[in-house]
Amino acid sequence: MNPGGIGIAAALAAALGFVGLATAQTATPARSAAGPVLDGEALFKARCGYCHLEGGTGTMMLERRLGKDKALLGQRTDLPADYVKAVARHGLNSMPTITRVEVPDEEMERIAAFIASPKKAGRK
Amino acid sequence: MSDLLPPNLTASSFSKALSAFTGVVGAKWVLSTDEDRATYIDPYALGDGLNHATSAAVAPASVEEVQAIVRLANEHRVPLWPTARGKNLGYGWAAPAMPGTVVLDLGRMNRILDVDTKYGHCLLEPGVGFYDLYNYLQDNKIPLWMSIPGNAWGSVMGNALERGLGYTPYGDHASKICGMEVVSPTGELFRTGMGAMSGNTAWQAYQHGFGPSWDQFLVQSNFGVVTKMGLWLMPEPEMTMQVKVELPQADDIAWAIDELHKLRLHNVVDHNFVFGNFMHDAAVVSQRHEWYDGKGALPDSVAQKMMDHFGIGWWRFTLSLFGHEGTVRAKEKLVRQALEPHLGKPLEFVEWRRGEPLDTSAARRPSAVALQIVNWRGGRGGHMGFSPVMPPDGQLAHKQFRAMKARFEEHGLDYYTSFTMGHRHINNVNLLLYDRDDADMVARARALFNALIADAKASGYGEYRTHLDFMDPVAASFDFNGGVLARLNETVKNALDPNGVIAPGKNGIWPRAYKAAGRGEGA
Repeated sequence: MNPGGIGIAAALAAALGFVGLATAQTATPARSAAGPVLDGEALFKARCGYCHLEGGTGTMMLERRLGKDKALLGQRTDLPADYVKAVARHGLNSMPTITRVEVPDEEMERIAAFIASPKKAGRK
Repeated sequence: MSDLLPPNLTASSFSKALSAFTGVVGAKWVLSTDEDRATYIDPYALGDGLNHATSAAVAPASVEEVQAIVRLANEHRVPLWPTARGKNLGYGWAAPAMPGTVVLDLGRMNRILDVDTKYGHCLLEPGVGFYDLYNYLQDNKIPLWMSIPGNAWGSVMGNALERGLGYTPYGDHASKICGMEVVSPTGELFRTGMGAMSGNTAWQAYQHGFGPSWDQFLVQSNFGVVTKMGLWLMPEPEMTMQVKVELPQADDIAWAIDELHKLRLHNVVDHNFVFGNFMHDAAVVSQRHEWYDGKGALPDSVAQKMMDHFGIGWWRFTLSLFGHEGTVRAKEKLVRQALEPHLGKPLEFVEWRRGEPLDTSAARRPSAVALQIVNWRGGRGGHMGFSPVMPPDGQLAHKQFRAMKARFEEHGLDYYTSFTMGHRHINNVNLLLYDRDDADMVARARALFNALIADAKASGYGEYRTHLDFMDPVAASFDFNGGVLARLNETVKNALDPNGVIAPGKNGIWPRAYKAAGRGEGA
């Protein structure tokens, strides 16, 4: 047994909402209501950021499964666009499915292209 | 997924209905492929979730389109399941009660129509999420605070309509609803409360209107499709204080609930809060296999190791104080007097004053981190809430805790609970965490859930909200005078919705047209 494989103290604080540490450590995605056309990165933050920014639940799950280096989707360069789209529409393990109402195809294309792009390494 | 039709329709008649829907919203927003239908299945269901599969989804963008779809649904006898953002996690996601029902996905209607800073209220469409409203208030520097549930991925309106909970003084979300716009089951548009008067200026200010009050009638019901909702927001306080409390012993629940009830009843503490066991946090920041690989429920000795490792108690809760400094200081004194003699040490409050960064305040940012619990077992994790309402009494809470823990252990599942403190009640929110791919575990979880419904009924407790799978048995447990309330609900349902097109089976309310799909006449 090797309890607490990830950053326990920060995650515990983030999870519990105690004394303001709560979600302060979880980045807040941009407003997703209708507005100007967003590029792939902005869409990723708006639509996927609930779980896949720093401190998010998806980031925590990916860190557990694949390690810290592969935890932040916005920094990955090894995910083909078609794979990203398939996971979003079909779900994977504990990740739920994303409907075409929540993320229409034209937005999904831009998000997948952003995640697949090798030029974004180092961003968060 | 295999093809699925709404009850009583042929493939041909259903196809005609979808064509008619397409004429309203366009082909892009009628979603009927296998892939699209699968996105509406509960990702955390007990089993495959196909018992609540949809035949299609349709996504209108305006009130007029909702009206047109509802009228066509009546004409073509197509049942609709309205959903706002579809994130009813642990209670069924966006999926309908009755298989074959078409999901009426309102997620495209996502405008924040009004925020009134002076009077502290807003008017929202169904697709507005907690993050959307939070960011809007922050971006525009509006000094109003939202109440946010533990998992904030969903819709503000949808959560209030399900009686969701948050943790500020405005945390009983359904009680803060003030005025709705609604499409009736026959496609007429009406407004509730003061909004029933054209040009009225107090639609979001006075909850009741003139004559019967309809807002609460539309909560957890299938009596209409809500397209706009007024909601009260909390003015930013001058000051907050927050304190985290750890109780080391399981049996501490008895004295603690009695003391906390007094603080809640007298509004010294004027917000709902989670009085949760260690699993609340351990299941977020770790996985079960890190602690225990054995069969059966987590042993107490292992639980103690977890608590020792994280430095947390068997029970934990956070109290917040909101208001002007004089009020907050007076309340601080009362909280200290109530709890410190039991704890044997001073409470350590964190203070925040208006103008300081919100990170140290009792306001919360939206977060979806709590969803991490589904990963407790690994694999395709699932969770489901069993949430009876009970009196806030220490001895009763202690008895309930011991009985529930024993039931979980009897079924080999880990006991995850909160005795969430309301004003005059406890929402005893228990989560069943399971691996969806383990058929035996799924069967044990289902058996546990049914046992808990019966146990709660025997204790005089009923659920405040439940998963689709259990809406009928929970509705049946409300059995005063032979279940007369269910018959009243169905009488109203049949009068308002003669073709039964809006959300058949929602909270156990089955319209005449689909009675055979529900509990049946003899239930």
